[in-house]
Amino acid sequence: MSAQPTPARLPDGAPKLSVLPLGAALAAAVALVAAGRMAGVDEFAGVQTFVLIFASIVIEALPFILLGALMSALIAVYVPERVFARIARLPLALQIPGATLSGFAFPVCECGSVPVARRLITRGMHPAAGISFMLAAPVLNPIVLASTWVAYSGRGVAGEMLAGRAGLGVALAVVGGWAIGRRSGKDVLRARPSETREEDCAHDHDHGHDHEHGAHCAPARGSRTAAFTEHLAGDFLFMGKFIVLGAALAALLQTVVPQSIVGGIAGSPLLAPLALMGLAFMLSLCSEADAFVAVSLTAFPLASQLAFLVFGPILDTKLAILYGGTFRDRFVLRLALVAVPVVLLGSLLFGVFVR
Amino acid sequence: MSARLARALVLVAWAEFFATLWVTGEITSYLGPRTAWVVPFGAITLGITALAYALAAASSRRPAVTLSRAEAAGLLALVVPIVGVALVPDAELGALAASRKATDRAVSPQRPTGGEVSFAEIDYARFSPLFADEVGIEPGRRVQLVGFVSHEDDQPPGMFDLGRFYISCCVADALPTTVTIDARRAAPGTYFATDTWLKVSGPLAKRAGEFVVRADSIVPAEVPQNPYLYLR
Repeated sequence: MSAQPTPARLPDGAPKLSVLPLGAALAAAVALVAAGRMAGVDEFAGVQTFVLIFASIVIEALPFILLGALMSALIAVYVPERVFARIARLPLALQIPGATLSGFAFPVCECGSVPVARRLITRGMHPAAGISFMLAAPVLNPIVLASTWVAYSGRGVAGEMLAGRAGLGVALAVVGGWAIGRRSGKDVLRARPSETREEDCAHDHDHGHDHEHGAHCAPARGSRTAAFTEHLAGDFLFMGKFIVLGAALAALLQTVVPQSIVGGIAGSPLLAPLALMGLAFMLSLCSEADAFVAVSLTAFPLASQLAFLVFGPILDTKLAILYGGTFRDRFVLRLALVAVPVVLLGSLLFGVFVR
Repeated sequence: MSARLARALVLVAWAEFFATLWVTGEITSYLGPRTAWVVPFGAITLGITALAYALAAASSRRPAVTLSRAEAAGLLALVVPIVGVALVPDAELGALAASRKATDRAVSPQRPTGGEVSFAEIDYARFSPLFADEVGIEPGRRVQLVGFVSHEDDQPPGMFDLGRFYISCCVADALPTTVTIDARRAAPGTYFATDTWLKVSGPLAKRAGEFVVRADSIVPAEVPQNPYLYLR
């Protein structure tokens, strides 16, 4: 009796990976580190700067991704289906502002809000409301608002900047969610690749996935804890790689591009906020720290600093990569087309009243 | 190879990496005090997650899912930062980073810190005479600063900048602050190489609107265990 040949491809057609290439990759990584240290690569200032900024962004962001994945897993496993059915029946005019204002209750940075928003949409929340939540949470959360207050208290405009950031953040979240998320969940979310097939099998309803529960899914799990762990690990590992890629790009930009290039247009009422939005995109700062950077941009008017504070948590280098892996249909471009004019107009209006 | 095994290995790798940063105190090389909590949180949560994931996998009756190339690439990407830190374990920001991150801005000290005059206070004093009066930054006041050397292109011989970085959440938001040092009295004819750490003492002088330290003592300094200063 002959043995069945081991298939070279997985049931969905993806090529299978055996242990040997993976072991070779790990050995190559060890060899790379050893060779690099011997060659003195670590002594180059550019390499040190890049690695330090790259590692610091990832080290700070991954735990927030983990926090978001924790919340996402809780939503997936422990929140009953009827709750989302009730939310889904609400008119959109109530879902969007409700989801936006719930950002006050979620103290997660912009990285953590993406897995939560994705889970809310797959559980039945209208995608416009889910996106509004995702855009609002990084700006409205209490820690960010407190940091903004502390950073600007020395300038005597803490109240104005806090109100401006929260107000413009709410406006952008509502407009962005409505403009981008009007389609159904299936069209907004990118289907998870085959690597998360096991997680897809772990829950009964997942409106964001377009695969079918087929032969690769075993009978449903009995343990909620096991399902929770599957979701947690799956979301963390899925989102984490996009953070790494985004952090690498942000670190490269910070290492290569001098920030002084934006200094020459600080006096232009139209170009200054656009320049600081570009700077915010490049720096990829956490929304809980960016106020201290913004307040030091003393050559720029407060209105331009506000544009920096509102745009950065919505769209920066690492978020662009993360959004690209989570949403489909040129989400990043569509978000930019909404965010740039809204933030520009809002900051110009702010500048009329606050100088 | 089992996808579950590969995923568990990556979770363990990050849990261990966070734990190492926590135990060795190397958190301060990457994060400020307001976000340092994420490292122990990551170490503990990922450790528990990896353990729970492995136990669930071991007790699962479902057939094992084999690792695809796409997922393998994603998991390998996740360990790249760990490899990077292993490759450059003693990285620090210096003159190159200061040149990239510098604008005509000044780090805002929010309120006087009291005690020794800080880099941020000296730098900010050039923008605010009111602040300078409040802190007591005036020509003749003696200061002692420890920082790294950087050079401006148009600086005359005998002058250099001494710098430090202020961070809030992490190194990515580091703001460079420099104070110009006049070394002609303390070390005439001496050129200090870029990124050398020095301890400089001397009185302040006002030149072209900026506060300069007329050094009467310049000695080599050890790189501080934590080279970053913090914004409050």
